[in-house]
Amino acid sequence: MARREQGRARAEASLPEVARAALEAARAGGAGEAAVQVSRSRFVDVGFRDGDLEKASASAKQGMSLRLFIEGRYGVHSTSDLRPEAIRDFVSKAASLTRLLQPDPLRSLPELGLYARGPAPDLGVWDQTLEESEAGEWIQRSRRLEELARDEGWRAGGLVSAQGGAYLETSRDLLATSDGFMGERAETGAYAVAAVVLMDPSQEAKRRSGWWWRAARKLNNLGGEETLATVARTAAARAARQMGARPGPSGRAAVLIENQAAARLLGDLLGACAGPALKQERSYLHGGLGKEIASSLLTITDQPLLPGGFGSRWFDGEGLAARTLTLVEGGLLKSYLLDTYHARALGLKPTTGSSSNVTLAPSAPGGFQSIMEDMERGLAVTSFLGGNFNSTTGDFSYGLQGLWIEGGRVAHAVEGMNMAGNFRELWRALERVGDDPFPYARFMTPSLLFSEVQLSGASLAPGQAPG
Amino acid sequence: MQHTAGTGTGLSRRGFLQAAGAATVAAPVWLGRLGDTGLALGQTTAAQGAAPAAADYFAQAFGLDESDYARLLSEALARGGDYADLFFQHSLGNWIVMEDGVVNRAHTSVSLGVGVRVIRGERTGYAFSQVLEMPAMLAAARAAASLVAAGGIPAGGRGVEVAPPLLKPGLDLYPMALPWDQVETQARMDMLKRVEARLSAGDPRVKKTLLQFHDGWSRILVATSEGLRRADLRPRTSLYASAVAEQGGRKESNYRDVTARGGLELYTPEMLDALADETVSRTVNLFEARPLMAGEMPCVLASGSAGILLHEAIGHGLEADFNRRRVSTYAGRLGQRVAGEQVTVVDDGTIPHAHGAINFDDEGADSQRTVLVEKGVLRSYLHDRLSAAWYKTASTGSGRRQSYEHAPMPRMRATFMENGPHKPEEVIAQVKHGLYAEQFSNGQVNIGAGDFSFYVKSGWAIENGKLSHPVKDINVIGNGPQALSNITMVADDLKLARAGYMCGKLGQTVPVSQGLPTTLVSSMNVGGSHG
Repeated sequence: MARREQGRARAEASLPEVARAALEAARAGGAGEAAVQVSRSRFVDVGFRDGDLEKASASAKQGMSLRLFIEGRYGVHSTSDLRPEAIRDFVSKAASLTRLLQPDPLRSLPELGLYARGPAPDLGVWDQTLEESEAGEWIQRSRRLEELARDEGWRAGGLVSAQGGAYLETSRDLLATSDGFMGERAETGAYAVAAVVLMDPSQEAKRRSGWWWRAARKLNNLGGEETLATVARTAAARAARQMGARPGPSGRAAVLIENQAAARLLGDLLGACAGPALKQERSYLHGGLGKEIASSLLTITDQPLLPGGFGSRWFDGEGLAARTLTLVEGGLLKSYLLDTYHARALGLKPTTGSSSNVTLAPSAPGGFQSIMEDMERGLAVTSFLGGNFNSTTGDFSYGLQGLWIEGGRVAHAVEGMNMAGNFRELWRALERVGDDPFPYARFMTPSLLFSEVQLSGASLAPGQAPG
Repeated sequence: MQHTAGTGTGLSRRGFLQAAGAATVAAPVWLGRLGDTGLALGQTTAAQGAAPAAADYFAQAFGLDESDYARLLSEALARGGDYADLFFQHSLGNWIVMEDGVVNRAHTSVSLGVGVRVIRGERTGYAFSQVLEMPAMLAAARAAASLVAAGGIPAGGRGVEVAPPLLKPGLDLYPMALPWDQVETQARMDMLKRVEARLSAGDPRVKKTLLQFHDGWSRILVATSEGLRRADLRPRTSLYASAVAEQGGRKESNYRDVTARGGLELYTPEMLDALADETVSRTVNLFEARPLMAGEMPCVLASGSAGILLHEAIGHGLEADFNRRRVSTYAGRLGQRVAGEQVTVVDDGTIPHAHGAINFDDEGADSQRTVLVEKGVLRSYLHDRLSAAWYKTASTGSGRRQSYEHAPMPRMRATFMENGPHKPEEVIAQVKHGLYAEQFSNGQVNIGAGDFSFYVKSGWAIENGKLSHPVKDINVIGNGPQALSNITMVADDLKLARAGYMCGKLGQTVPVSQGLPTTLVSSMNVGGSHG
């Protein structure tokens, strides 16, 4: 079969054609209701290291995910093989498997009135320039960023390795349901990332790594030489800043989490607000709607219609119309993240099953640097190393890297510390929310200051001063 | 550098081999295979018998043949290059989920494609096609060729000639008595029902249950410009059980899972019952847990999945790509002492039915048992083709990839420490005040500084040489070289964990195994919640 078609590619079916074929096969397989998501994307991913190309990849990708509702039974089936004959076979097998399950009466497509209505708004997430850009451009960008990172590394001293990477992705996806919803989303995105590894002269065989990146929906916002230089400089500075890192003292202390690192805490908190955890009572926030779960400084909002956001969308995975959703307001839990199924299971109204652009309201002017300068004593966390969160109980224990602060100044770099406790207390100890939301991710977290957290670090040797 | 997913205490390694062997009547079949030489493509490999790893799978299913491979490889090398390879993959996975006693959802997944890699010096060009038709595959070959040419200086030129094909059988580490395509969905559901019934009846405090069963296989064909052809069928299966229990308004949850490469026969009734019982005991034990002091203290690592220590403290640091670039804290330390005499660390791809077992690696190199640290001395890195060439040595069969969408890189397979002379009780008895770490959910390492951490889902506090009370949800952080040199006692009870770990590195996830005998690390930083 492969050879018979040499020289000429089969005409590619359009996204609506694939979706219609899948929905038709689902109906033939006995599905009373069905929803299909079809996507096509293209990416270019280039990495230079130490003066040479390390790896360049580029490809087109496709995929289909089909949700089947057959006599109360439910299954989700996905494939990358979109040949018409393969789709028919795939859907028929998926339907037979789904049929064998036990019924779950709560499963169905969303209420008709909740679907998004077109036409699609302009969310500022598409750039025709990116759609048309060639791999060579990203090879050049990656090569240049590596040169800049290498220069910065030499300047910092003790350069071990420098990397520059550039990534481009353009994608289109379409959601169609058997009850008539059809919506399409087109997105472009790109990023440039630099990494610098330096020898730590103060500690045998230890290397200090720093990396930084800039992401954009549009090529213009990724910037030119000046932006690449900033990315390279920041990566090298972040490596240099970790020289001589060691644990700070064990004990209770103030902890400041840098904006991009704070996404970790937010992700764990939102996981406890999500339908699957609540339905199984694996969330310490079960039964917590309307209750105080954090200090009054915490206000969290999901903003799917934010222009140019990395999570922007006009409908969610089920087709529900995007709307601004207040999750936490003044420390009170206002909403859960619920799709149609989990909302029914909990006897609540659907919101959305997944977050989009998540923002936090600042509590006072000033970001990471100025909050740090206001800190009497404590830890400024710049990244996490491992650790986990127990959503059922709220317990957490995270590994940390960062800076020990005394009198508003950096006393020394920190590694090898943990913070532990329970989210019930941690979020109530939130003392300040910075005005520096991280702009290059879906979770646009600002820097967060917690007044008192249990830290484990160095044990004090006799005669040694704390810090 | 991070892994997620479940774990457990595991059967003993010995028990693991016996259980697997007994079920398949195939104990150490791989021994007979190591001496095999290649067979010409097209011949049926009688040695593989009913093993469905036939190299002609892609010929039968997609009409591909040797002339297609040769043409694709030539195209890949048309603009210059030392080497090219193709990685064909057709994967199918099934998941069924039982929630509170009802099998209320299922998921299936199909993934199909071919990856084309071109190597020129140390540069890699990579592209893939999800359509196994010549125009699309040729476009991928041209893209990989052009990417590696555009990144190099000077561009252009012709690559080496494509060599005539030679089919080389791999090991036979995961034969299946009851392969998944012959297993009815009802049989899978019956297993879940058995586990759930025992789980929910196991303790009156159990309130919610969630079980997930997975089986799947991946058909692989590697074709290289050097003529190597290798085909495999890689099964993978797992059963994950978890429970939420409630006592006096307080809730706790925990889990237990088993994972292997094999068929239905791996799930014996005894194993299913033990899985349910351990899930219950692990969950309700948490009600007895008390906070542990924060700070540095001795840690005893229980035998089994505590092999996560090796995975993070040294395994990643010995992956040769990190050393070739000098970014690992272990760079340049081959032949040097990195731990005490009692420490021998092995990474082994040849353990039958292990989650990290591979009949050959994703570049077609032989799977092997690699001694990384021998009696405390660093003996080998983990190599793929690129790093082996740079170090002028042979690949250790560690070139692995997540799928056809990715180029391979050095990865671990099953990482464990050899037995020491002590008894587990002696090791615990040494500790006046410390942590006994038993169940691990995830870990991470910072390669350059050597700092690593792992998360102890549950364990015990040790007081005066005895296990005193359960503890839970504690992150432990240490430095690789330091932790290795702080291993002061090793017991004689090595177990390979049956729980399945997925290891993530640079955006790619692969299945791995790990094991450890009971081991004392004299000091690590324990993230307790109590001052």
